[in-house]
Amino acid sequence: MTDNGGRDLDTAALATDASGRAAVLSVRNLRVEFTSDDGIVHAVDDVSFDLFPNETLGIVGESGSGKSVTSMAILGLLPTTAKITGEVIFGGENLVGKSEKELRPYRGDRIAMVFQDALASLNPVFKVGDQVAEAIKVHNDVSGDELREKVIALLELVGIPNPRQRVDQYPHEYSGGMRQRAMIAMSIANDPDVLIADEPTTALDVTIQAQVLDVLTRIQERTNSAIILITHDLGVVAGVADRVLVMYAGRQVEIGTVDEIFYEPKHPYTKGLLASLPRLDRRYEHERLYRIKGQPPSLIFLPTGCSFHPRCPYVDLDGPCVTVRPELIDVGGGHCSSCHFARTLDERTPADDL
Amino acid sequence: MTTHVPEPQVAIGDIADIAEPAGLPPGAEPVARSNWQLFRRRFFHHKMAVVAIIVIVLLFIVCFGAKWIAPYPKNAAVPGVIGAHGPTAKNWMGTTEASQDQLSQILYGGQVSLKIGIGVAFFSTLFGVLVGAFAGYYGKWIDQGLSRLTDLFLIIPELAILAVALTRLGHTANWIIIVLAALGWMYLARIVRGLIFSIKEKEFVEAARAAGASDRRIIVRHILPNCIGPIMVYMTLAIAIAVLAEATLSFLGFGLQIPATSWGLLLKDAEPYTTSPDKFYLIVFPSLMLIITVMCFNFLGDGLRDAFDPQSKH
Repeated sequence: MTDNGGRDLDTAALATDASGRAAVLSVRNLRVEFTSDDGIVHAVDDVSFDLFPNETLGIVGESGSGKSVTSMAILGLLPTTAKITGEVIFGGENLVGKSEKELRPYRGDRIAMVFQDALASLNPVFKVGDQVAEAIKVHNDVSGDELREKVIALLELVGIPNPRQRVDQYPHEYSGGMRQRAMIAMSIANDPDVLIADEPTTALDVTIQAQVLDVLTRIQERTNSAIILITHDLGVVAGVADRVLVMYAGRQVEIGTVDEIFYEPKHPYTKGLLASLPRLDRRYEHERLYRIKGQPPSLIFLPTGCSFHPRCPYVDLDGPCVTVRPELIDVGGGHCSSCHFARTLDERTPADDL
Repeated sequence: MTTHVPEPQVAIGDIADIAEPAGLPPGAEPVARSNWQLFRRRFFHHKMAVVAIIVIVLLFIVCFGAKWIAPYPKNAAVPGVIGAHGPTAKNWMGTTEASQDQLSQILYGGQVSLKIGIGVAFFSTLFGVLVGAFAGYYGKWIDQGLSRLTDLFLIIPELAILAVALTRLGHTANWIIIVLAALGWMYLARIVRGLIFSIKEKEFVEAARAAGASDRRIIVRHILPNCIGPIMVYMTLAIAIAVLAEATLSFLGFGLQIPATSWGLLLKDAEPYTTSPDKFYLIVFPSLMLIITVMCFNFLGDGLRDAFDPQSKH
């Protein structure tokens, strides 16, 4: 990956990756604000990243860190009360500011979405097959046996057993894993360039989780679509994603390849997240799991400077942490961290034992 | 994923079928027709509804087949009979003041009463769904406007408007249908608006939007099918209400006029004899038809409500 990957904030030129492929989706300085009675909620605050074909980008962060809002903003699915600025460049066009009508041809056809709760996302009164067919019919003029065969092929592709019988069943007759597969079948019905999966496995048990992720990976091999995988499960990210974007309080704190994020985290928040994971190769007889002290900040009253500084073990209270908002710093090869001490973090001593 | 987890797929499906009871899981919306067979089973458990639907079908056959079934032509005087007389072997329901066979008149009158009932139910449902769907889906000022319009129609003194409008427009069945429908859509509009308010927040609507479906497509293909239960129940009850409304109008003289015939008109002709017990048949038979019809449509509505409700005990 070149220097451009993931942090080209100034030029509108399309970013390319190491093999020279152009990014399929570029998000630039995306901000989403909601007005509330208490003040302005900064749900997403200056997020920029690139997504390349056939790549899986994991977006991780705790609840309220702006993961889902980012993905909704890409598709323009946020309520009209949201104030969105920045750029979402897809197919040479900026999707931000486009009207519902202008966005419709993109939705489901070129950028598709898989939602978290498959039971709630499937219409209870229609057969699953009809719903998959509907996803195709929105953008294509097919019907009859051709459509039915296409639906059955899709259900088969995502691993629904006996697709010929299952196509005529209702969502309540499906198991949780099958519902999520059906959702995936609907989202890939039109071979989208970008697939946004918003916590697709959160409601599922681990075995089914693994199967659903496996389906996503197999789909990607077939269709070459780029996947944005939103999750708060670092294990899922480690298993599936190529690159990872870590978000905190609506801001991006770190972006890099999976290996970079997991083995050489350059942001105290990422370090803290990883340290708080239980590990099989350690024994915890006398020690507790690490936790990041404090609570996530209110998105209305964000801390000054670095939004993580009140909880940061590396904080320099006399330094820029409290006053200056950190820029994304490239620590090498597109691995960027928004910490003032990104380059020297490993030499610093944390306040508590990491 | 690096490891491929073996998929015990069939087993998962089978377990799910056992674990999740037929119908919707608890907590889910009592929405329509998740399964046609379940729907039918629940409906047939409601014995009165089954009886009602048989009676309704018979009623439609005898009324609209009156041309072949009725013993006498419409409005024809029975030869050799002058004025009203009680039931005989020849005239099962007696004859009217105009020497007509009352059974034949009731069958022909049923055509009009049922037509008005169905017509009013159809058009008021159509209009109510339309207004409710727009108000509920778009909300904001569209909802404000349409809801105030609904309120306005609800406070209109119905009978006065009906009397004036029909006198101006003409006392035909079609005008009665139009005017009754124009004054009867508000209840369903409110029901549908409320339903859509809750359904449009469901995730499957969001999913449809994310799939690129237009507003019209979302309303017609994703939201309204979830309201089919309440709409159908309302429609059956609307038929009963409209049949009664027609009878009321005709009885008061604002509705159909002779030579048309309807159950309300027959009752109107019988009105002078309310105090003479010897001519009871002039009042009893048309009233009986009204009661049977209204009750049957009410039972049908009950049965449909049970059938559409997966949590019903039947």
